[in-house]
Amino acid sequence: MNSPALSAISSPHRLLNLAGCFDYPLSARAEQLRLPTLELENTYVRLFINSLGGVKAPPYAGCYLDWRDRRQFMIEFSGLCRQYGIVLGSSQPPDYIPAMLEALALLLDECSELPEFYPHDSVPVPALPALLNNFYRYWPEFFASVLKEHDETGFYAAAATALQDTLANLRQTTTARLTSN
Amino acid sequence: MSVSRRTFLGGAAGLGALGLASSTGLRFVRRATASDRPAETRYINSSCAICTSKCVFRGQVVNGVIKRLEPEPDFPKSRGMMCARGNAGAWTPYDPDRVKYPMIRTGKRGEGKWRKASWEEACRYIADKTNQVVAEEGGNRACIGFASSEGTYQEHYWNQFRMVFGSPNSLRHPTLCLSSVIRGFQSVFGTYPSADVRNARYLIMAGADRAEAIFTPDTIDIFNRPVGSCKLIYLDPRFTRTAAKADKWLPIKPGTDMAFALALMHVIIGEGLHDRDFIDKYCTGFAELAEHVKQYSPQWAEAETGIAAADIIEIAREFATTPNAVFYPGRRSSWQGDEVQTRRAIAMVNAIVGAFDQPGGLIPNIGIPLNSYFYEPAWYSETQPRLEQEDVTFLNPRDGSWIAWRDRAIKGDPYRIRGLFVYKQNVVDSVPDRNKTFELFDQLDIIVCVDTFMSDTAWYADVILPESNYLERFDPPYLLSGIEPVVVIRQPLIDPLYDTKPCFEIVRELAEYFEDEDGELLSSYFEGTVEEHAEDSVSAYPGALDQLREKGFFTTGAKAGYGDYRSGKKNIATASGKIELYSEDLAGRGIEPLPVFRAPEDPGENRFRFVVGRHAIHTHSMTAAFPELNWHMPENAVWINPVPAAKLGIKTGDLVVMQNRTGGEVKIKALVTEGIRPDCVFFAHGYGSLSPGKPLVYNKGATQAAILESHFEPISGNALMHETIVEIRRA
Repeated sequence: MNSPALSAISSPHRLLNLAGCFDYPLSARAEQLRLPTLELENTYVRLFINSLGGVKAPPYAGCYLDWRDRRQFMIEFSGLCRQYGIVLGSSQPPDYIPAMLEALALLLDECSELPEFYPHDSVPVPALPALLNNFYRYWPEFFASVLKEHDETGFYAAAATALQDTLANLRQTTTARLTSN
Repeated sequence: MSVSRRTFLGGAAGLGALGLASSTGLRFVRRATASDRPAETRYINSSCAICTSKCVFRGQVVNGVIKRLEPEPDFPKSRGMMCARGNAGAWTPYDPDRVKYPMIRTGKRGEGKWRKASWEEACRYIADKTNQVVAEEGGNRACIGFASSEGTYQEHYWNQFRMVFGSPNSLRHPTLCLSSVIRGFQSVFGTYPSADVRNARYLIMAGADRAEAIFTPDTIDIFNRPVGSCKLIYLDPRFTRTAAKADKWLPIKPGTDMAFALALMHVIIGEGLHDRDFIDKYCTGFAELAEHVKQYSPQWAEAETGIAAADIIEIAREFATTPNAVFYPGRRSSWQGDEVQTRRAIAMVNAIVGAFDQPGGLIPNIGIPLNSYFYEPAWYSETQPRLEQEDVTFLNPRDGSWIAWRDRAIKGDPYRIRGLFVYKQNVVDSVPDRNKTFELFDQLDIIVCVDTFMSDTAWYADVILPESNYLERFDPPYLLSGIEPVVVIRQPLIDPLYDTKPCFEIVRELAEYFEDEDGELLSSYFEGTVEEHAEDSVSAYPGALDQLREKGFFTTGAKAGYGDYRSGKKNIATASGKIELYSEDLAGRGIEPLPVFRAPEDPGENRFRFVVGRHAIHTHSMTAAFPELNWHMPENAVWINPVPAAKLGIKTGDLVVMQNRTGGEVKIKALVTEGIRPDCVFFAHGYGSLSPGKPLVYNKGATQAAILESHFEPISGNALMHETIVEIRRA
């Protein structure tokens, strides 16, 4: 059960939705976008898997943080998740953006649970701003920016922009709530 | 339809329409259970895959992420060393541009349009196309070629697939590398030996740039040698890093190493400095050799090689009178048209001073016998010979001869090649004359590429099957033979990322979609698991697998002894049982039994011989796109001597056009340097990638494959990398 203080700011549902936007496109998505499925698949591969001049928008947060060692970023994020009782799947690097969104959704949810129901450390609510600042900042802007430049469908760019806004709002609201408390 | 932020948030395409139930469960994370590990640091030993040395490392894995690869101090070959390339490998699993999923091409070849596929779909696609073309060729399974390369310890599974599929056409890397040096030394010593560099006191190296073309133990021994303990004479048209560390650098004219070796023998024999006892006991054909080299005086060699006669005489005398001297065999030898004979001449220089089977000399390699991987062969009632069977005297059936094979394949002589399956070989960037490779590709109905990176070859494939990275795989034990043989292994530091598989699983799955001529599924030929094969491989050595798992290597402590051949404990593996200075075998095949020097073609006015070579931080085309290495050298440049550069008005940094004689052309920046002879030019390999999937090197600099002309020598089948003549002008 979410605490009143956090229910207003947590957005696990929205984060999971956004994570799903970066799934490999099926025909249903192509129909929604009124695009031939193959064309959308080509676009997806070009943006996120392999492409002319390199993957245009690698879906890995650490790729956008030039000033940070990507492997160290992954080590720290993976360690933090483990500390808070979340296991990242091994089929993607720890900085895979949909995985990071799912982890955040789960962390936000965990914030409100009572420790006795969970064997690991719960996320201390005051740690949220630091967590958001350390691991969910800067890269969303760059990710959205490269998608704006390269995504001809507009769908992924819009999803990345929505993601950027969601994380910014979350960071802002979390900080404000904690400050006011 | 283009989606705006507003329509995305509220409209049919975006969040408003997704709904949680369909796709937004937790797919990539889960809540931990009591059995999950907390934050931790682990060490796992494994062996490198970035060059041929296969050094063993301790992989540091922090919170499930590979942090770094540290040298394993007990590994006898690298002795606590881990080079820049090996260190940079830690990044490779996380490369955002690695091949992640099976993909099927949807546009034209090279256009870069792909769709992701399941393994089942990709395998079925490959099988349907392949079976169709085999049927069209009247059941000739030889119409499919199979290329592969060293580095992975699973190549034998790829070969197994080829064998049970029923094609003789296997193409491996040795004819782009060292097949001529092996053939040359085998014809003299019956084996391709190692040089006992650690105990050598005088060392001649001709183009073996060990500071850059790293062969770990030799590299360490050369550069750790105490001052004054071993004199290094280094011959190379370029001032390489090895030249910088040598006692004497001789910028030899390319293609004249044989002349230098013949002149050394002229001096050594003429002055009676040869080892008579050794020659009498262990060699045949000395009289013929002695007579033969009389024509090759140092003065003659000076005109041919550009090395002063006085230097040749001094080196010959020092070499013959210094105990424990050795003329290093080299490793890569794909240079000039007479490469086998050049290597024979170098072998003979060693033989006549007795630099064999003694400290500091040439030592035949030994191994640690492992149980071979066994599989049932498939039998076919009608088979074809290899395509280039008639073109090469000593054709290794597993290695083939790349250039000769490709020429035949393009002509469809004696039969058509309709498909190419490639495993971890960057054919487009490794085989000289890229235009010809594309000419072949244009004729192929199916190109399949198994790789970890989007190489140029993968970029032009029809189907890409992603192999797990070497840091994610368990590879079976692999023998590194040598003076101190050692068995190494690979084990995963992390789970395989994305939808990748090791080679064994890939070929076994692919084999599910093919049948032999009796209708038996080819998958029935693949039994067991890699782990079981590993266990069986070292079953003769109790505890070996445990040691391999703990340390990443295993050794019996065996070392090649000195004097085994001199004492008769071991036999020299030639037909005569002696070191053959004059080769009856070659004579019987219509090949000159003694090395006869023929001057290389003069490039002519304002033309240059293009020479290849290694760079200290790169392994061929594999590593140039590694960020940590690319940072040191983001682009290659063509080395040109200041004298011709001034004549051509070329300055460092100028963009120049290089053209060969067969239509090959590249654009590249110039580096004007006195570190190269005026008659040749050089640039490092690995750049100028065609594959946009390697963004750091895509269109940056130039690739050797685009400028190298297509030549091979017919004794060993080796490609010839120094037979290309180019013109240069400012772009």
